[in-house]
Amino acid sequence: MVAFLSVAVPTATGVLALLIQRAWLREMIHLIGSIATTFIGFLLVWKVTLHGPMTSQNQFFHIDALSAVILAIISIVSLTTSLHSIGYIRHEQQEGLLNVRQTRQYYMLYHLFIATMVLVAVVNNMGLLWVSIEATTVVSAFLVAIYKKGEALEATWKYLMICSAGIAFALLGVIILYASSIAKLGSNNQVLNWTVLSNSHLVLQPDLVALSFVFIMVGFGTKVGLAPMHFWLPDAHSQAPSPVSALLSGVLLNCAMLGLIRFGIVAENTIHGQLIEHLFIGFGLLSVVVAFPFILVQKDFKRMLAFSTVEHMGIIAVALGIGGSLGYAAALLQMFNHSMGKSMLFLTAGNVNQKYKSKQMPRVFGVLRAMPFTGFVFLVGTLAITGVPPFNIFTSEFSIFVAGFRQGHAVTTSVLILFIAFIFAALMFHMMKMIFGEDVRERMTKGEVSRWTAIPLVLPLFFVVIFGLYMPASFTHLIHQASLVLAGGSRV
Amino acid sequence: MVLLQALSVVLMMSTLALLWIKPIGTAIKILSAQSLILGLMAILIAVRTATPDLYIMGGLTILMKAIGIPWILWCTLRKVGMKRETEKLVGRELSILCGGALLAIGYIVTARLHLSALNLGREYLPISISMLLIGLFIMMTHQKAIMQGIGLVVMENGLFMVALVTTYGMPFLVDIGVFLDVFVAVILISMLTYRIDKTFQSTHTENLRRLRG
Repeated sequence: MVAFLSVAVPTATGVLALLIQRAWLREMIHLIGSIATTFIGFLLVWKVTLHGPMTSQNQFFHIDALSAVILAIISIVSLTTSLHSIGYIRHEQQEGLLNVRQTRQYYMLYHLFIATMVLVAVVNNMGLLWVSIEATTVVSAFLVAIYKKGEALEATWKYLMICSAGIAFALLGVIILYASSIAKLGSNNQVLNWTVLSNSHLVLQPDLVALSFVFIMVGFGTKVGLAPMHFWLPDAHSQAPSPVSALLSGVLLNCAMLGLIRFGIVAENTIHGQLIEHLFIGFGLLSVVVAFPFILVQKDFKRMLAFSTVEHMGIIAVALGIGGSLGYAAALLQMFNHSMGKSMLFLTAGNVNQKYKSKQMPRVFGVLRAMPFTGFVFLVGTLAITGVPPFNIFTSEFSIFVAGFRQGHAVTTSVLILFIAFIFAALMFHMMKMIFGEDVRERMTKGEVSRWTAIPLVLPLFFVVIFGLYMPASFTHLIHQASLVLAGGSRV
Repeated sequence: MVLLQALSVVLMMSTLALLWIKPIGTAIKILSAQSLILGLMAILIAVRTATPDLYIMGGLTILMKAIGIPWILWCTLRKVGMKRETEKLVGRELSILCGGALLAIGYIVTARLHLSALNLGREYLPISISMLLIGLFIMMTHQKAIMQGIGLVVMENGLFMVALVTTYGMPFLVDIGVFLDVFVAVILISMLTYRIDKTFQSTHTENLRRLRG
């Protein structure tokens, strides 16, 4: 029942937000819906942490520790972006960039987007997992297109075309897997369920499973933003409204990664070879390497952050490929930490964008002076995302390096460290010029754009700072449980 | 069985025809005919195997893909101007040649596949795979927004046929979900085409070249 509500509540909120005419009532519904979504999400996480995996509604929903990690990410990030949205959208409306109709559409699509992402985390049938990932594309494409400008249209078009074509190949992979699973288990409605396929004793036809996983890797890899299929990502992230960018980068990519992980586990049960490992490490490492030059030459700060997302997805993929109990746990931790850090950065980027009315880095100086709080969060976020201790991402990246050396991937890990160091330098170079420095041409009026866009940043900031120093036992327990699901008892 | 084979040949021809024709209106008609054939094939298979789910899927294919989607595309085309012709990076002769090559690839790739669960004869799988590939080819080479959308639907049609011939379709709920996704994607494509046309006075995707690096 709770699982059903976790999808139904955001859907209902979205529909209500479209129907309601009065602005204050719509914002109220939006607020209540967001808080309810977060509450239900945490309720599920709490239940899974205490009682282990649960299945409900005639096997339709299945929530295990892996889903719980994603649900925790969705809950925290979506609450932050919801609060931020109120201030952001009000400001855009005042500036005349969005009209009332677009605002209503925004709130509806926003909640439908969250509903589809929750569905990715809780659905049992792996065919429906594909359906819900494709649904996230379609819904979020509407959100990217909300500004009716040429660039936004271009970004949406590329996003929709590249992701749909890519994910079509993933569907081919799913069909092949289904055929192989039918051959083994006979034809019934359950054979595509995660609860059936994740059984580590289930051995399907190896050649078919390998073929299927290659298609799925390419398909979902496109959606995760792994190089060389990442071309939609910087466009969509830079053109979307900032709260949506935060959701795309912080949550959506992790949902797609969850799809990749689930199919990877199923494939691992049949083909114990190195194919899966090589695919993850290959695509992951390429993403980190490709991200560096683009970050270095970037002029638009939202695009730069988007390329940093490509880098981090690459790091997560490499960690998943490295594997071992430490590698898996570190990968999941990195997913969580990156979500907190990057969503915070995209939200602050939105504040900077609204204040300076530009996304071009050469036009932005002295954020710390103009907006002390946003500037401070921007600074902490930059330090965190580049892996500087004592923030949270340092912990997970360091664990990934340790796991890499321990599992005998010395070369891979060395290259990874080298490029993370390069990207650190490049990001610092750009960000420091924006955060410090002084605008010589004109003096900005001091102060935040609004309270709604400033105060919510405290939530991710809390996790970025605290989780670098101390992680509560229940959280480490959850991560451990999830890494056990990932290991599937096969390759620890 | 003969009927099924004949239909699959027509399906292949229609896909290749998409590479040849010039007016976008004709392309939409061909797409509609293609989906109709696919729906009929699903119903034929449903009759043969007595699977009630497939009747519904066949009916839905005809309703949504043969009528609904072409209708939406048609409306968009009317809004942006009926007389639009396709434009592509590759000439029609070369396109057809590539189409033939992709068909050959479909045969070569599937011949090596050990599908013990293959429910229908081997002859249908290559056609469906090459439909998928030709759909992708259309998306890559065409420069008009609507035609790229048509390419996407051709890809989805190919996938539907793969599922149809290997496993008699996906589980019912999954099929419905895929349908819904495609349908919403087409609505989005139409909307975007219209907006691209309004913003740039053309549906040429050459205009979409500003975001780089």
